[in-house]
Amino acid sequence: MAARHWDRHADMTDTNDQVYRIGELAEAAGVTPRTIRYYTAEGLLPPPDSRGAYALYSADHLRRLKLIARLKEAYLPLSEIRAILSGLTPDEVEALLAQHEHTPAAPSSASDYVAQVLAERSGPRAIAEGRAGYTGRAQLPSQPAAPPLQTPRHMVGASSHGGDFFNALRVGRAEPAPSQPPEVAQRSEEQPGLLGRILPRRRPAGERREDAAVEERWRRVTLAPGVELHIRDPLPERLQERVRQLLERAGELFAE
Amino acid sequence: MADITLTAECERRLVAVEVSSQRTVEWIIAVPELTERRTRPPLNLALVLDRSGSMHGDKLRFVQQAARHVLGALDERDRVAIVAYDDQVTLVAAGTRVTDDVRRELLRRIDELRPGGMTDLAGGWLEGCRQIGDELVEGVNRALLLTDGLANRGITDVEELIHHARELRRRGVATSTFGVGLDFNEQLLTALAEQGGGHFYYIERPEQIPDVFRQELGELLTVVGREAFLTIDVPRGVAVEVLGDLPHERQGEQLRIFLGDLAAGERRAIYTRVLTPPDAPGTSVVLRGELGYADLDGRAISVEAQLALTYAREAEVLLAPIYKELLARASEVELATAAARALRLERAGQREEARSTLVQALAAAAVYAPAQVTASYSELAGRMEQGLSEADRKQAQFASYKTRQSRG
Repeated sequence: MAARHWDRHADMTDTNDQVYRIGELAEAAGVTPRTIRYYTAEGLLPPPDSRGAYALYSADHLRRLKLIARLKEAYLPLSEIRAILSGLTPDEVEALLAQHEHTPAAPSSASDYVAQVLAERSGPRAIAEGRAGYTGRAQLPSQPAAPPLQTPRHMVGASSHGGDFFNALRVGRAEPAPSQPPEVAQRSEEQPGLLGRILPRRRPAGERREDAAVEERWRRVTLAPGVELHIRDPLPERLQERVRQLLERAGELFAE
Repeated sequence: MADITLTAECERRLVAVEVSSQRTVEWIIAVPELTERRTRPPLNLALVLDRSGSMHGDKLRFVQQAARHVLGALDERDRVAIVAYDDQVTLVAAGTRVTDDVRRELLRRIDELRPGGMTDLAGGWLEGCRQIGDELVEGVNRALLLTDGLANRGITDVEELIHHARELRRRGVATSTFGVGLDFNEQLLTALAEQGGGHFYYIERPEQIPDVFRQELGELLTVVGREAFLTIDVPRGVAVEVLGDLPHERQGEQLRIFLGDLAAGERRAIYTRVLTPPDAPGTSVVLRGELGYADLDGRAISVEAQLALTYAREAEVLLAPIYKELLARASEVELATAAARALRLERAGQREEARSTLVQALAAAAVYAPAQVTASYSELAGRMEQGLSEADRKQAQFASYKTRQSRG
């Protein structure tokens, strides 16, 4: 499926037929060239057009990179991002990205966040203030009236599952909240709340070393002082059982 | 009061020139006991109480007792909201300051709680978080979510709920979870607490409910460092990983582990695995860790610790003594982590995968892990093959959680 879309990409005549060399693409997307090569090797990006002297990337590559960044913000693991992206045509990538750019940032206060989650859920809230045992609930003494539970809340979309596919990606919420002016929107990289206040500022992008965490990872198992076994994670399934046996056997050998 | 300290140690300070070396670094955070009387943090709590049909009888009675205890410990400095949920979410009391009059009225409402129908755990929990969020205090803002059953109304998707826990925590509202009996989902409650920056408790018998609440409340009242995190600078060419599946993030050359609030007398150990690249003899690689937190006034405080690993010829490195006790402690955390993963698989019905996950980890940890620890995990792995009882699942999950957190 992935291959089919990418073939289509190859002979697609993109409306904006801008092409990028790897450094230009990296700059436009705010990542390093190394990241681009890594994503390409990992199948998150289609390969560039390498017929000429330079590998050339398209606007679709740029959009895919932006989308990957969005999905990473939504805490999706790369494997899941790959699964999502490989099923998308360039048009779908564009649509998805455009949709996301119109999505308001998540609210910054906990109460607004909950209100949004519940509103998206099902519309009318199921808070029953006057159920058995609570009829005629007395106002608390010397307290201002409890804040009204804003019901029914603003309904957004259909169900949160199986609705439009953008919601299914858990990227963000589809409907703009008209009451929220853009200038109060939280910048996504800032932590709201106490953590946000006390966390040190992020370093500028240029200083980051990308993807140290997602390079191949070797697990080193100490069998005995001075004896180690190196295993690359994730281990192909066919080897797992044999490695397990090896470790068990080694455990017995070095037991004393 | 004495200060919170951070120290770092590893099993061997020398690393090899010729090949890459793996070291296990133990970061210890020690919070002094309270010495003199001091101001405690104001608490902003929501008691989110399950009153579904299954809570009928003893469970609800002990929950009421626990709630009464919590109210008794709070005063005008504190805010509390009470939410009861079955298939409906009932706001028993919206967030309010705890004056004497309010306390009396809330106690009365607690006594009136009656068991109802299904379990809209998410609805109740979110309502509690909203009540807290309506007026965050410069103190501890936390929902205490108690349940004895599965979320079967409202939002029931585990992944989605975990996501909300993380987002709410980022917005200043933490969550602790209390699972009572055998019918709740221990995977969900552990994850909510872990991502929510609070604690998870497994309560086997209803009569333990008040004590467990007392324990949580005791910690909240003695919190001295809020929203703590450990940031480790990762030098170029070095790889650092956290053990224990603790919530963390990577930002460029930094690894940040989120620790939640720190209470007086608490001691936490965080284990990281470090891989050093080959380098020239005589050089060294310095790992710098910074513990950050907010004090009770909301000031950002930071404490540093450094650990220098010095390069030497491999032959010399191998002769240096090994701090075996440290490796034993780290292996316990690793085994607990593997057990948590295995328990997830087991609950999903993947028994063979569960068993083999744990068996592999056991083989890898065999060298340093204490014998009685490996024996008990081997036994657990064996039982996984047959499928665990609900009681086993809860006990093993709680044990693994506590070990991974390394709180003491």
